[in-house]
Amino acid sequence: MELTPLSPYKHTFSGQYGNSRADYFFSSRGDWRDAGYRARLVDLVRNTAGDAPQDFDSYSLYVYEKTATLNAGFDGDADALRGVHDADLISFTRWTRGKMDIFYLIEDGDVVYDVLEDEAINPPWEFD
Amino acid sequence: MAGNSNPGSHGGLTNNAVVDNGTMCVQASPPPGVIFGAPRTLLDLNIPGPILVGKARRDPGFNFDGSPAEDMMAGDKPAKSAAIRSDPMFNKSDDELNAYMRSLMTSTSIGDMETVALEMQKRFADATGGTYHSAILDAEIANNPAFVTYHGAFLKKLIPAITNSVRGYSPSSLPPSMASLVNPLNITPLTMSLLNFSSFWDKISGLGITVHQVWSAKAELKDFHVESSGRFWLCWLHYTFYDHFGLDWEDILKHGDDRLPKYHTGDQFKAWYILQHYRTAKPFITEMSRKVYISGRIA
Repeated sequence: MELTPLSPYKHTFSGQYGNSRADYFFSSRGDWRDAGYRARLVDLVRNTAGDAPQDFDSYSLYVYEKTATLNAGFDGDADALRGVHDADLISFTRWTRGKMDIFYLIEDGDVVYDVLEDEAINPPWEFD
Repeated sequence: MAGNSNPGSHGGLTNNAVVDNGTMCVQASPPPGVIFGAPRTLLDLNIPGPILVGKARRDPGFNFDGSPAEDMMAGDKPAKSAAIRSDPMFNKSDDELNAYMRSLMTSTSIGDMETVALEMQKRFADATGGTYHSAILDAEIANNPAFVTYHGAFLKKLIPAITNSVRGYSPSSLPPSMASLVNPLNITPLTMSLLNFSSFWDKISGLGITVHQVWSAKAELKDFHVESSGRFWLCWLHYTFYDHFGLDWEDILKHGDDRLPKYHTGDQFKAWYILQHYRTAKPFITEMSRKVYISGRIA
């Protein structure tokens, strides 16, 4: 399993929290119920983010499932991903002022696992 | 603030039975009344609040990453929705589109909730914006099984957090030490899930079309009280839910081809989207509230 950069790669914007950036990746999808898979994904996301969260008021990292559309050949922007490919999201992670405060696992567009709380979401709710 | 006393050591009024509304002050309250059969004394602890004890991880109007929510935008003509410009619905007048949208509201709601749905549609069409609140909507949520389940799950986390925060309370400990010994203000706000109304009943009775899933939520304690023996606490738990009465492109991808409950349901969603993103209608925030009395044993 690896995270491969997905267009638009990096999206910098001034948002609710101030100076913000979102990075995008694609990967193969594993079974979120598997603790080993979850641990590998968390490590990958942390390592991939590196020191970037320290440089922004808010830093987010999106991981999408590799599909016939979402792959190295995709050239859409952030707006072409949001609300169009939500069903392909694998995870969403957010750091606010350097501290990770969200790590959701997502299936069929629904948040199904909260990594920080280490618990399945029941009932799941739409990521939106 | 009622009463005529001097400020206490924590800024509140001491020996004043009237709740210090709207402040976070710790105050010692006088008798009257009986709690769990035990007479209250001057040593009772009362914190008017509100004390934030739960919060969703996103705020009204914004996505999780802090960018503005697409379903709260208006007249923005998003590039991703270019396909709708060649849809037959796109050429209809505002009056025709509003008629389609009203039909969507009436076909997916009943009784008082139909009144609410049409009121919301009018607010949207009139581009009023702002925040909408309805006692009918509040009552509908309070009686919904999804809320009952949601409340039960939240209590499982909240009750231990409160109990742990007040453990060690001793009625002999008076201010100024009281605040450090007994302080639910120290509770780290719990993470709240997003309440979802997606049952078959919700889809035909009105909560599905008017809310579907709340966008954000918070929970606060008010009138928090520890009775004099230090064995029980009690308070009001206030939930506030927020939603966006607006659509994003994902809603059209999901519902633009719907044929239920009516053949034109998909077109009705498109009418909503076109009015918001290509004409002059304006989305707004819906705010819903529910308060529940809760109590617990400390030891």
